[in-house]
Amino acid sequence: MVTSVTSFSRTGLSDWLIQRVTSIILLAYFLLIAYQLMGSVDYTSWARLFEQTWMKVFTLMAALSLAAHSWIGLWSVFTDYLTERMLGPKGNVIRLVCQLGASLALVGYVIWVVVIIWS
Amino acid sequence: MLTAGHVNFSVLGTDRQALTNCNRLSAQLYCAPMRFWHRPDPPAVNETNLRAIVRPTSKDTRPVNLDLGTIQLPVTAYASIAHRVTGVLMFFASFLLLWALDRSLASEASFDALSEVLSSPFAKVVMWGVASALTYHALAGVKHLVMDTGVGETMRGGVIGARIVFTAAFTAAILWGVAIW
Repeated sequence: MVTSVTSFSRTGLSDWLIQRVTSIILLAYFLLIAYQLMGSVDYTSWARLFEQTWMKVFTLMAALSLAAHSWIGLWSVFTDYLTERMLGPKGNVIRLVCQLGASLALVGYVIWVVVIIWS
Repeated sequence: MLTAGHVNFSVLGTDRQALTNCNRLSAQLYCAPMRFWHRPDPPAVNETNLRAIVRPTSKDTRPVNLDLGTIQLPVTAYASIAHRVTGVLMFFASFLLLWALDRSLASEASFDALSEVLSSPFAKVVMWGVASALTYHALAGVKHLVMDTGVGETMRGGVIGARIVFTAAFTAAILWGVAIW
């Protein structure tokens, strides 16, 4: 079964590395956000944090990481369960539709973040 | 080890060596640990005890069908399944997180409106669920990174790692509950 055509980087080794690099970026970002939310948050300090260039860049990096990480993760799940063996003759069609929908949503997420951060 | 998750169980030719290797791998991964992992030194799988472990009443050494619905899964399997489930959940939860980020930065009025929405009981349950799922996914991910360095790659190591992750995630879920309510 040809499934690598819908994988993120076309090779498992590359996907493996991307999955780990993006996981570290996302972990760092969520730790920062969790730290910020620990204390009482007010609009002024929250907005000031996201006005700084490094935070905008970090947020964009996290959004791109989320897209790549989710693409690879969902591809792994889809190619395991949404198959002809599991779902019958329509398995491949269902998987490609789900992969396409997820990919579009992830592109939407990235665009949404860009709009939030730079508008 | 890069190929750890990509064991090929579909060897169905007549190559006896391939079948034996495949059976031995299945046994090491699943059958032996299920029965023996509580022992300090689980017995190595060899030709002599392979049949007794895999198919006690048969001389058949073909690969065993690992039907997930009918076999007892090790804790590592539940850790892996939970990692996938929380990952898929986070894909959908990301929409909520982005919506919240958008509302929190749009204006001071929308920030206050968001605070109002997030203080409702239903929103708190959702926040707790998302935070707990994300924490589990992150801890299980860190376990993967640790295993990539060669630590905890054995079955016993995997079982210990899975138990640590489940315990830590359970504790974190309680702490998130305390923090939110």
